[in-house]
Amino acid sequence: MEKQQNKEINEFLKKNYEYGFETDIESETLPPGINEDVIRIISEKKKEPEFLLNWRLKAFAHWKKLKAPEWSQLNIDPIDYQSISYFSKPKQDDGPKSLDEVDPKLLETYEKLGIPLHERAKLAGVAVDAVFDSVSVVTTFKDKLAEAGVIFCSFSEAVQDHPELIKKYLGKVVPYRDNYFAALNAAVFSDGTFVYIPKGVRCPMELSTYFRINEAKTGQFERTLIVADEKSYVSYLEGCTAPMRDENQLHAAVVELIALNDAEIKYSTVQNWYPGDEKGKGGIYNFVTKRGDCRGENSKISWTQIETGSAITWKYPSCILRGNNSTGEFHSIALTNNLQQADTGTKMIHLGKNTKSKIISKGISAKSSQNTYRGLVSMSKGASQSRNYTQCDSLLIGNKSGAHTFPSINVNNTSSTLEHEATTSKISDDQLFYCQQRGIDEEDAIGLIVSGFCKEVLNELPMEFAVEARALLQVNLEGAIG
Amino acid sequence: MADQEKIKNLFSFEKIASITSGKPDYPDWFDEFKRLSTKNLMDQNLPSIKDSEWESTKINSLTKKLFNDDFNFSHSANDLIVEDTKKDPNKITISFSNGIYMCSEELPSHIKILSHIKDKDKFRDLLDIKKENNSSFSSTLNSIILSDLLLIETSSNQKVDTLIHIINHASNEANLAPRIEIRAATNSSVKILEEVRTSNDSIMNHVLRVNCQKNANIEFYKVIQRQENSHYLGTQDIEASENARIKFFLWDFGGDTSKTVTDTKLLGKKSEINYSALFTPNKYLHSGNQIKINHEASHTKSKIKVRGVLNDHSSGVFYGKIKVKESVTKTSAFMENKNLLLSDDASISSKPILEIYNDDTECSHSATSGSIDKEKLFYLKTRGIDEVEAKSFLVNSFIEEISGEITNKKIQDIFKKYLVQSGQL
Amino acid sequence: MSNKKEYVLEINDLSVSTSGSKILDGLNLSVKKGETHAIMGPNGSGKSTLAKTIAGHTDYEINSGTIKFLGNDLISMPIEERSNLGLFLGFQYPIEIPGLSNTAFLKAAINAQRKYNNLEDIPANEFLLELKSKADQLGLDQSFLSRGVNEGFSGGEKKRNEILQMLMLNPKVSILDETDSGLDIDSMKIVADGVNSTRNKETSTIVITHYERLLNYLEPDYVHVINDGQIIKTGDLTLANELEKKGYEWLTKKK
Repeated sequence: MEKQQNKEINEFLKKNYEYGFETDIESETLPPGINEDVIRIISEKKKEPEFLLNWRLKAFAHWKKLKAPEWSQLNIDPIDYQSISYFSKPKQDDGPKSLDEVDPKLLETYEKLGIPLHERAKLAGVAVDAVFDSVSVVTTFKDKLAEAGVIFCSFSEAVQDHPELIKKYLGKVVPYRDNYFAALNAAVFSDGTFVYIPKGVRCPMELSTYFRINEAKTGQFERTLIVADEKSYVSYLEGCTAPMRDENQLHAAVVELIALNDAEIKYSTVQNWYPGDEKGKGGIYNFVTKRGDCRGENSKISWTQIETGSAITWKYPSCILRGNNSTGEFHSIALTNNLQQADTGTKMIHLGKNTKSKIISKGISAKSSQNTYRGLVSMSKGASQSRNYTQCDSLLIGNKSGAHTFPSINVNNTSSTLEHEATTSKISDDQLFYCQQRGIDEEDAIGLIVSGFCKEVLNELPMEFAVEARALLQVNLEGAIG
Repeated sequence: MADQEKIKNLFSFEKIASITSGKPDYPDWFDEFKRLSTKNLMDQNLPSIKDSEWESTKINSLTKKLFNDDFNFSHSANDLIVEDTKKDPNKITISFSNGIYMCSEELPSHIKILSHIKDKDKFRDLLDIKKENNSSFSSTLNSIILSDLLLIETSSNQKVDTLIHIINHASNEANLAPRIEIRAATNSSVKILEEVRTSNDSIMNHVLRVNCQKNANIEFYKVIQRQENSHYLGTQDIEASENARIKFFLWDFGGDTSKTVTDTKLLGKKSEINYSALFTPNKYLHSGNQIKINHEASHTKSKIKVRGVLNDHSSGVFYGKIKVKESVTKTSAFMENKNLLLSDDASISSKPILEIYNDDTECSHSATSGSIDKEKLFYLKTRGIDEVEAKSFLVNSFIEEISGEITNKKIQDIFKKYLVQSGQL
Repeated sequence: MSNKKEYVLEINDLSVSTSGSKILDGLNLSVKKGETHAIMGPNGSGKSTLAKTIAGHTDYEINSGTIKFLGNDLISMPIEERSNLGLFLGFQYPIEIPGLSNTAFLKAAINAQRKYNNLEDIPANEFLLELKSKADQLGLDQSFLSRGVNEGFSGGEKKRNEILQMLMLNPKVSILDETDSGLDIDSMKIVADGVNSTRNKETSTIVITHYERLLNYLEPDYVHVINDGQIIKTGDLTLANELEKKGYEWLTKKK
C-alpha cells in the first residue's frame, strides 16, 4: 500500500495542475444573467413539478433582497452575478440511457480525470455519478445498488422518479433562507446527486460523485441530498476539478445530509478545483453550504475534506446534533499555495443529550496564501452530558503565508465538557536537514512532513482516496519553498 | 440610527459644558479637546452584539445606562465613607472617592494627579487629541467626561520598591471616568495594585494607558469588586518598547455588565507580556474579558492565561486575539482559557483567535469548558470531606492556577481577602 | 601511501564559521576504508560543527579548505546527494517529525538512495523483513516502527533509532555525533554492538564522544583530540583512557 502511495506521489511530482484541460463538446448554455425567466427555463428544461418551481422562485425572491456577504478574512473582488451563465448542458437529446449512449468525448474526459465510468473498471466497488458542468452525465452500478434498495441517481432523475422524497427532505437542513449562496443555489441549481439508503441497509459499496466545470463563464450550482434511513450506513465521496481559465468561476453548491435513528453517513470530499495561477489569475470561487442533520438517536455524521484547490474556499460543513447520543465529526485538511485563500471550518450544534463531536483541522499555508479556520461549537442548555474535542493545527511554509484561527465556543450547561487545542508552527529547518541527510530531497521532504502533519485526517479517508489525497497534497505543495 | 441620535442629544457640547459646569475655568484647549472627542464619538457606531468583539456581551443595560438622561456627574467625595488606610512604609495608597483624591499622604515625585489646574502643561501634553483619533468607543467617552488624571511616571533607572496601591470608589448612582497613565522610563520598574469598588447603580468607564520603555518592568494588578446593578467598562492600552517586561493581572467579579478590554502592542524587540485574568461572576452578573496582543516586533513573547468560574445565572465572555504581523519573526505566543461552570443556568462564550502572518512563530492556544470533575469530587468525599467543602477546594485549586501568578507578598495578602470572597461563589 | 587501502574521506585545511565566529580553523583529517576514528575534545571545540559541515548544514560557512568524499568534492554537493552517496550522520539531537511513521520515513530514504543508483524501489516484503530483523537486533519493539519519527521517544530510543537508520541505509561513512550521550549502560552496549556489526572492510566510522566507555566497546583505530578548531593530538585507545583520567587541560595548555 505504502509503496504504491510513494510511487504515485513520485508520479505526481513536478506536475502542475493536471486537470486543466477543457473538453470540446457542443453544449447548450443559457446566456449569462439571472432573472425569473431563467429560473423558469431551468425548471422547464428539467420538467420539474410545480412545487419545485415555486420553491425556486421563492428562493430567488429572497436572494434578491439579500446583500452579498462581506468577508472578514478574504480579499475578493465583487462578483457580477449577471455575467454568469446559470445553466450549461452537454448537448445530447434526451440524455443518455446507458453508458453506450454517452458522448465518447465525455467518457474520455473522465478517463483523463482518472475516473473510469465503465462498470468493469478498476475502481470496482465504487459507484460513480459524474456531474459535467451542471448536469449529471452518468451513474454507474445502478442495478447492483437497486438490488439493495439504495437510490443513487442524479438529482433531476430523483425529481422525476421520487418526487415524494425530494418534497419531504429538500431544503430541510439548509433552507434557502440560510445564506446568500444557499438562496442563489436554491433558485438556480441545475442538478446534483440524490442518495437514499433504506431502513437497515448497509450500502454495499462506496458512492462517489465527480464534479467537473467545463464550460467557460458558467457557474456550477449543484445540490446533494443524502438521506440515511434508520439503521442504515453509507460512505460517500465527492471529487472536483475544473479547466484552467483566466476568469474566476463560481461554484456554489449545497449539500444536505439527514441521518435518522442509528444511521451513519460518512461524507468525504477531495476538492481540487482549479486554484488559479501563481499570480492569482483565474481559479474557482468555492462557496459551499454543507450541513448534516443528526436527526435520529444514535445517529452519526462525519465530514472529511481535503481542500487543495480553488482560488477561494468558503465552506463550513456542519452538524446539527439533534438526536440524543448522536455524533458529529469533522476532519479537514486545507492546503493553500501561491495566492489561494481558504476560509473553512465547521459548526457543531449540540442540541440532544449526550451528544459528541470531534473536530480535527489541519491547515497548511505556503507562499503568499491565507488559511483560516473558523468554527463554532455550541452546547445548548438541553445538551446535557455532551462532549466536544477540537484540535486545529496550522503549518506555515514561507514567511509571507498566513494562518488564522477563529474558534467560537458557547456553553450553556454545566454537564458538558469541551476542549479546544490549537497550534501554529512552521516546517523547521532542522526537520528538513534531517530528511535531507537521509537522502530525501527538499520537495519530497516537505511532502513527507506535511503528510505526517495531516495523518489523523488522511486516516479517515477510504483507502482508494487516501492515495489520491496524498498525491494531491504533494502536487499542490510544488514550489512551496523557493 | 435612533441610538446615534440619542448620543447626539446627550453629548452636544452645550450638554458637556453643563455637565462639567462645576468647573467653569476650563481653558480653551481643554474645551477643544472635549469638543473634538465628542465629534469622534459621533462618528463612531454604538457597540453592538453584531460586532464580534461585543458578541455575547450583556450590552443593553450598559448602553441604556450610559445614555441615561439622568446622567449625573456631580458627586462629592463625601457621598462615600472611605476606610482609613494604615500607614505602611512599603506601600503608598492613593484613594479616590468618586474620582476625587482623598488621601493626605504626600505623594512621591513619580506620582502626580494632574488636571487643567494642577500641572496643566503636562496634563495638556498627555491629552493629545491626535492620539485619540483611533481610540475605542469607551475611551472616547472617557475623554469627554474626564476631569483629571493620575500619572505614575518613573525616571530612568528608578526602581520603585514601594507598592502603589490605588483604590477607586464609586458611590451610588455615580458616573465616573477615571484615567490612569503609567509611564515607566528606561531601566525602571514599578508595581501597582488597583482596586475598583463600585456601588449600586454606578457606572465607571475607566481608561488605563501604559507605556513601558526600554528594559523597564511594570507589574499591574487589578481587582474589580462585585457589585450588582453596577457597570464597569475598562479600557487598557499597553505599549512595550524593546526588552520591556509587563505583567498584567486582572480579577473581575462581574457586574450587571462588566467588560475589560486590553489592547497590547509589543513594539520593541524582545518585549514580553504576561497577562493573567480571572472572572468569577455569580447571580445574574456578567463579566467580559477581552485581550488583544499585537506582535509588532521580532523576538517578542506573549502569554495569556484566563480562567472563568461561573455560578448561578451568570454569563462570561472571553475574547482573545493574538496577531503576528508580516515580517515579524521569532515570536512566541501562548493563549489559554479555561472555564468552570458551576450551574446549568450559567453560560460562557470563548473566542481564542490567532492571526498569524509570518511563519517564524511558535503559537498555541487552548480553551476548555466543563464542570467540577466528578472523579476529583468523589476522591475528596472518600477522604471524609463534605460536598460543599470539596467543591470549594476544587474551585480554589482552579483559581490558584491563576492567582499563583502573583509573586508579590503584599499583593498576595490583599488577594487572599478576595479569595475568601470567592468562597461564596 | 604505503597503505593499500584507499581514502574515503579527506579533509584538508578546513576553516568554518557560523554567525560570524570561526569554529574550525585549518582542520585536517583523513579516513580510510574500514577505519574507525574517534574525535574527542572539550565543549565548543568544534566537534559537532565538523559533523554538520561534512553533512552540509547551511548554518556553517566554509571559509577555506576542501572535503573529498570517495574522491568527489563534497562542498558543492547537495545534502541529500551526500547521503545518497553513502554519508550518514547520527544526530546528537535527533529531530521529531510528528505523524510521519518511522517505516514510511525509512522507506522514502532507502528508495531515494536506490533511485540515485538507478535501482527500482525496494520490494515491500524485502524492506519489511530487513527492517524487522534490524529492529530486533537493536531491541526495538514492532510498535516502534509505526510511531512518528522520534515523536515522543525517550533519549535512548532516539539514539537507537539513529542506529537503526544507519543499519538500514548501509552507509560508506558514518559520523556518530555523541550517540552515547544520555544512554544507560544497556543501551550503550546495544548501540555499540549495532555499530560494530557494520564494521567491515567497506564501512568507516567517525565517532564523536566525550567518554571513553563507548570507545572501549568500539576499539577505534585512531583517537583524535580537537581543540580550537584543530586536531591537536592523535593517538590510539590509550589516549582516550588517558583523557578520561586527566581531562583535556594538559593537552590544551601545551598548545
